[in-house]
Amino acid sequence: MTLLMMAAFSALTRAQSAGQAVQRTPDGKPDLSGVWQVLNSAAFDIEDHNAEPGVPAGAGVVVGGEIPYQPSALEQRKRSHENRATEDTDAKCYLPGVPRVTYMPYPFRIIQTPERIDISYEYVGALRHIFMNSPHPRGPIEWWMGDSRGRWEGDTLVVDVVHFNDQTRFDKAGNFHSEMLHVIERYSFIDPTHLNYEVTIEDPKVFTRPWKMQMPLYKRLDTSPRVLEYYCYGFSDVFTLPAGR
Amino acid sequence: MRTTGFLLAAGLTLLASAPLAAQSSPPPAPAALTPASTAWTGPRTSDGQPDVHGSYAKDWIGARGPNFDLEAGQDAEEMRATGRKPEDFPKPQMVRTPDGRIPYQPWARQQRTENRKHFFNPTELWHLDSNARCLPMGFPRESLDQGMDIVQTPGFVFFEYPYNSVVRTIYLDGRAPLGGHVKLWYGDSRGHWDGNTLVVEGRNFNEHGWYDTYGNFHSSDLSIEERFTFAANRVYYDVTSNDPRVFTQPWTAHVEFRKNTGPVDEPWETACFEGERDTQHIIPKKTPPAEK
Repeated sequence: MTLLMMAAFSALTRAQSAGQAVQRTPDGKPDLSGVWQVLNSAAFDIEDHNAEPGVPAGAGVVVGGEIPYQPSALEQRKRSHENRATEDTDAKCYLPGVPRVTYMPYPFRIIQTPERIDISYEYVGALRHIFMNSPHPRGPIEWWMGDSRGRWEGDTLVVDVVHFNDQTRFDKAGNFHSEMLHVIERYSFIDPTHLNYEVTIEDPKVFTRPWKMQMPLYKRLDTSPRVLEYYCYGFSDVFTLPAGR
Repeated sequence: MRTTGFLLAAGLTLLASAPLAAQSSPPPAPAALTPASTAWTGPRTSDGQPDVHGSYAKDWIGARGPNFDLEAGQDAEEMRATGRKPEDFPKPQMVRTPDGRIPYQPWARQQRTENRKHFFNPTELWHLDSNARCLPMGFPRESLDQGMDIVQTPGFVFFEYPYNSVVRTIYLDGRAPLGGHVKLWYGDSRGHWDGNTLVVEGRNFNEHGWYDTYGNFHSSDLSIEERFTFAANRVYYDVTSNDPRVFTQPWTAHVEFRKNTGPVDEPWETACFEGERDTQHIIPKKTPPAEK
């Protein structure tokens, strides 16, 4: 953790010394606009994991290495792991929840205005609204992607997300949460083309204490980056079209 | 009864689709409803675009819209199935052809009638409106059917459609188009401002989206030109469809929107597909098994 922060700090220093100021919006906030993507294997397993067929090995993104499950939650984690091929949202092509949508291996576009920051994800066409400086609606509400409320703490975008259901998971390995999930995301520039993405996870029904994930987000520098479509549920549909179409 | 209704519908269809060339003097095209483009005198965004951000509601169609039938005229099949009467069908003419009908090629008119026939008694997946299955609506239907939020950032206009929680990105940076073989529900859209009018070229559409719930359709050869003219808190929207595989000539549809100047509800999650349980009951044998 400390090493990561030091690395981030040193990258930031490098960027500043190179004169690459982070771009800002007219209201002076860091401008997160653009297409971003992770470069890791967290979508498969957020903890350290071995390679399996179709799954690259990876060092996890959980700060400290392991998720602090309550002993009683370990049985559910085992079941979720076993039924992942049929019950995981990725198998059903359902909305994947937050923060998982961030580290799916698909690009997303951040659309930043002073009142609202929208994120358009390629994965299942998810569109997320982060409402700035406003309170969560009163629950109980169970949404796939939760309710996102943002604020700026200095140059860090802090997003508080609640009102989840218990159907989404953290990865394809079966790591799970309950409807009590509370997510706090922090987006801050490391340098003009890298964001530090830090997530605090709280769920008193499943974990013994709050825990964190941390990973960089990479800005897509392609000539004309686009967020296209990954409507996977269209793939399994048989559109048996009549002749001529 | 069903057969009678269908024959009546087919008869109306034949009447309406009689070739223009066979008539002595073709009826004139309807007058334009969109005011001519002018210079933009309102506020501008930081990158100099006309600032039109905000929430817009559809405001033109009376009680009915392409949620039903984009084409003019009464729908005999629906009257038979629902007991609606001819007077239940008043609406402004959205298809801006002389007869309010889409200029289908003969095979395509037949296909459209076939699509419509199956609406009340679907037995195959393709009989179903994609949106009824919680698949995307596609374009241009999404823009004809629903209100929208417009969001602008430097180099972009975004149309967000709360009904289906969809965002459509309009690139203003003159980037190269995508390869023609790439097919998308919402296409690839590149645009520019002409005074108070946003002009958008759209292509790369797939063939799964209809124009309405009635089976008006296009192929994956569709390209569209859209003109969004902003004047006095209104949007005059004209979309011209060109699809040489399906239509005899390009044709234009028109709807209008008004800006919501009062408080606007936050767009909340829709998650349609996650709760979709209908298709398997409508067409039990055709639903593919869950992915393994």
